[in-house]
Amino acid sequence: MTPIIEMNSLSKWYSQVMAVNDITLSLGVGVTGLLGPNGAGKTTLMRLITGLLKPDKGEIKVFGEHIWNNYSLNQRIGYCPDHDAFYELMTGFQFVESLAMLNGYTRSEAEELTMGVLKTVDMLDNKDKKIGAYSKGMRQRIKLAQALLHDPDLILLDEPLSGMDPIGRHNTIKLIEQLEQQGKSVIVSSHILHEIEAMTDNILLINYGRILAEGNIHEIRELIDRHPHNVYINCDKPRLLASVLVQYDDIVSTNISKEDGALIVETTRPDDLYSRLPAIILENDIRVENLHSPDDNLQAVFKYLVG
Amino acid sequence: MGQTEYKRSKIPLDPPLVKGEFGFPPKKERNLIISFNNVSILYGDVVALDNLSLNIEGGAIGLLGPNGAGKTTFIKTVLGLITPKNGSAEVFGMDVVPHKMDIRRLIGYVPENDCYITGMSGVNFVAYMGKLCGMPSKEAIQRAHEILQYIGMDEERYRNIETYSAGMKQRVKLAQALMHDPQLLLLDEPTTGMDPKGRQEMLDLIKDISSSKNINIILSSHLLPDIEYTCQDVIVLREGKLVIKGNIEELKSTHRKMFEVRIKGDSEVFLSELKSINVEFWESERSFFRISCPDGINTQSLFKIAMDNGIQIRQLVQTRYSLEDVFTKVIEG
Amino acid sequence: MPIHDQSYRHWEGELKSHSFRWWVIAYEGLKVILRRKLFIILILTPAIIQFFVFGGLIYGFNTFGAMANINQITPDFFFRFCFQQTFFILLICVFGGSGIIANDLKSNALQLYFSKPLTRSDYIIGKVATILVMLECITAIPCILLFIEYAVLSQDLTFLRENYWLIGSIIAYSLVLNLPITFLTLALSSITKSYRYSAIILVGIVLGTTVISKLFQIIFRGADWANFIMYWYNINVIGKGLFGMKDEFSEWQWSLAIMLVLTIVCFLIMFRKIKGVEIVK
Repeated sequence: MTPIIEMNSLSKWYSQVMAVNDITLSLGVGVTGLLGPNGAGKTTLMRLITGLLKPDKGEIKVFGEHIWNNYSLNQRIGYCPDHDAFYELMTGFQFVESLAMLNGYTRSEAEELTMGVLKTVDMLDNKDKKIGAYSKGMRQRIKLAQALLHDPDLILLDEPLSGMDPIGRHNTIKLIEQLEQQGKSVIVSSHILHEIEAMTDNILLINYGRILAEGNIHEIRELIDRHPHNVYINCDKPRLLASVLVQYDDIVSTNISKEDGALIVETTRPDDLYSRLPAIILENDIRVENLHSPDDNLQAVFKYLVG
Repeated sequence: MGQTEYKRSKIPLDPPLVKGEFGFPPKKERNLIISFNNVSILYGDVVALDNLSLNIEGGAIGLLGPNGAGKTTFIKTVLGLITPKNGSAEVFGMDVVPHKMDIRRLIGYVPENDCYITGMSGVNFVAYMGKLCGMPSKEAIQRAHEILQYIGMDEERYRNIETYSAGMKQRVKLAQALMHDPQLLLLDEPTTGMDPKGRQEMLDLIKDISSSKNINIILSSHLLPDIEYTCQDVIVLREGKLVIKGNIEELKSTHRKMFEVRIKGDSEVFLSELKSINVEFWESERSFFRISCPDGINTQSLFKIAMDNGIQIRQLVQTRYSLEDVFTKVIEG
Repeated sequence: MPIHDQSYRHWEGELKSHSFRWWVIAYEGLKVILRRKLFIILILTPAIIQFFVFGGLIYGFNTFGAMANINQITPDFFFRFCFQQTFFILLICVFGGSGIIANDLKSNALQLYFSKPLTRSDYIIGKVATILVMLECITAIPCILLFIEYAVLSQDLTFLRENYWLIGSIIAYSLVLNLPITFLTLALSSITKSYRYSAIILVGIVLGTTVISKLFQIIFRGADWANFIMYWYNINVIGKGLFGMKDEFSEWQWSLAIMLVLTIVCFLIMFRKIKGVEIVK
C-alpha cells in the first residue's frame, strides 16, 4: 500500500520556537485523527502537508512528490483551516463558486460543482445569504464545502466541528465516514476526544512538535503498560469474583469501590483477563450488570501520554 | 460470506416524551428563576423567539437547540438587552424591562466569544468588572484575587489578558461573572477552544459551582457531553419555540434493557447468535453495538455466547438513550 | 476549623450607589492610558512645561515690572495660553483617545459592560470623562492656576476686581475647546474597530478642514464664509468673544452654532453605535 503522505526527519521552527521536531512517519488511506494539546504543532503539521509552509529540515512527500512549490498537487488536496477568513459581503454561493473558478473550472462547471457540494454540506437553503449573516455553524459548513469542491483525494480538516450544533456534527461525521468509504484520505484535527473516537480508531498523538503515538487507540492503550488496565465489574458477588481473579498473576490489584460496591481490578494483560472472564462468570453463577474499562479510551490515552 | 444486517440509527424511543410546559404553577410552590409568558422577539422580519412560554426553576439546566433556534436571543432577553415585542418575561420575579439593572445585579454572564478590556491584566480586569457592579474598590481587588485562586490561575493573573491562552481566557470570563456573587450564571459555550484537560477542569468547576456553591446555572452548548456532565435538566429550543423541557435522566430512560457492548473477536458470529435469541442490535459508533434485550434475556446469556465462541466482551454497560438520541429525535421527529 | 476552605465564598457586601458608576469607567480608562510611558513623556510633559513657561512669564512681569519687554498681562494672555495648548489637545485625542471605544468594540467588551448593571449613559459619560479630564488638566486647570498666581503676586486687588469674570471665561472657553473635539474623537472611535483608523480620520478632519478652508479662500477669492469650515478658526472666534475682544465679534454666534451642531451629531453617532446587541442582516 503506497503511503499518501511520507515525512522524513521533518522539522519546522519559528525563530526560537520548535513547532515540528524531527517527525518521520507515513500515513495511508483512511481517516486519521490528529490530536494534541494547544500549541503542540498540529496546525503547523497540517500546513506543511498542504505545502503552505516550507520545511526547515527534512522532507515531506505527498502522493509521492515533494509538496513545496508543487502547485499541481494542490488539485488533489482539500484544506479546511481553523480560522475564519471570508469576504463578508459575498453570499455563500458566490464564495464557493469563485473558489471553484480559481481552481480552473469554467463558469458552468463551477456552478454545477458548487451546487453539488453545497447540497453535501446542507447549505442549499442559505446559499444566497451574505456570509456576514451566517452563524458559526454555517460558516464552518461553507469552509468544508470549499475543501471538498474539487473532489480531492486528501482532505485536511482543522477543527471541522467547532460551532456546529449536534445535528451538524452528526452529519459531518457521517460525511467523513462516506469519504473514507470512497477511498479518500482524511486527516482530522480536534480537541474533542469523543468526536475523534466517533470518526476513527486510527490516531496520531502529537505534543511539543513530536509524535507521541500513532495507530489504533486500543493497541496504543495496551502498549501503555506502565499504567495497568482498570476494569470495572459491577456484579452481585464482587468479593467472590475478586478472590477468583486474584489468583492469576496478571492481576495487580483488586478494589471494592466505596460508592457502589463494584469490583475494580487492575491487570497488566487485559487480553488474558477478558478471555477467561466469561467462563469464570458462568461457573460461579455471577450476575454481571456492568462491565467496562474506564481508561481504555482516548481520554485515558491522552492523559497518560500527555499528562 | 453472509453479511449480517445492522439496523443503523433508527432508534425506537419509548415512552412518549413529555412535550413543553405551558402551565403556570403558583409561585409559592416552586422556586421560579425565569418565567417567560408568550414572549415574541423580532429582528426586523426575522422571528427570533416565537410566543415562547416557559418556566425555569433552580438548579443546573442545559439550553440546547440547532443554530438559529433562539438560544442567544433568550439569554439576551434575560439580561435585558432586548425588549420583547409581545409578552412578558420575568427573572427572579421581576419584569425584565423596568428592572433590568436589578436583574443584572443577580446574574453573571459568560459570553461565548473572546472578550476582555484592552491593556488590563487578568486581576485588574476581574476587579474592574466587580467595580462596575458597584463593589467598593478594595473589596473588588481582594475578591478578584480570591476568585482567580478558585479557578486555578496563578502567576498568569498579573499578565496582560491578550497574552493568555484560550483556556485561560475562558476561565477569566468565568471569574468576572462570579465577582458580584450572582444567583444565576449564564454560560454560553464555556469550553470552546480548550484542550481536553482544560475542558475537564472547566466542567468540574461548573459542576462544583452548581452543586456545592448553590448557584443556579443555565448552560448553552452544542456539546452534549458537557451538558450531560454538568446539568440535571435540559431545555430544547427550535426556531424560537420550546420543543421540550425535562429532566435529563427521565428523558433518557427506557423500559427495555439496553446495553452498550464492545467485543473483541468475530462480530459476525456474535451478532448472529444475538439474533437467534431475539436480541435487537444496531451499531452506533465504530465498534460499539447497542443491544436491546427482551425480557428473559440477561447478561448471563451474553457471556455464554462469548464463552462458547471464544469472544471477549470488553464492555457491557447498561445504558439508556444518549442525550444525542433524545435531541435528534426531538428535533427531527 | 484547622483546615480553611480555600474555595469560592459568597459575598455579602454593600454595593455603592449607581450615581458615580461613570467615574469607575473614567478612572480605569485613565489608568490604562497613562500606563503608557511614551504617552506621558512625549505628550503630557510638554503640555505641562507650557504651564511653567507661562507661569514664569507672570512671575517675571511682576518682579521686573515695566523694565522688561514683557507685555502687560491682559485677558489675552490667558486666552493665548489655552489656545497654545490646542496642539497638545489634538495629540492627546489622537494618541490617547482614538482607541477608547474602538478597542472595546474590537475586544467585544461591550457585552461585558452591558451585562452588568450599567446604563448606556453611564458608559458614555464615563468615556467622555476619560478624555475630558485629561484635556482639562492641560487647559482649564493650569489656566486658573496661572490666574491665581497672577492675582496673588500682583499685590493689589485691581486686577482681580476688573477681571473676576475671567475665571468663568476660562472654564467656558476650555469647554468650548475640549468638548467638540472630545465628542468628535469618541464618535470616530465608535465607528471603527481599529484605533489606528480612528486616529487617522481624526487628524484628517482637523487638519483637512484647515486645508480645504484655505483652498476655498483661494478659489473663491477671499470669501469669508470659507473660514467657518476651519475647525480652529471657529474655536478661535468663540474664544475671542468669550474673552471680550471686540474684533470679529459678530461672527461668534455662527461659530457657536457650528460647534454645537458638530457636538450633537457626534453624540448621536456615538449613542447609536454603542449597543449591547449586534444585529447582522
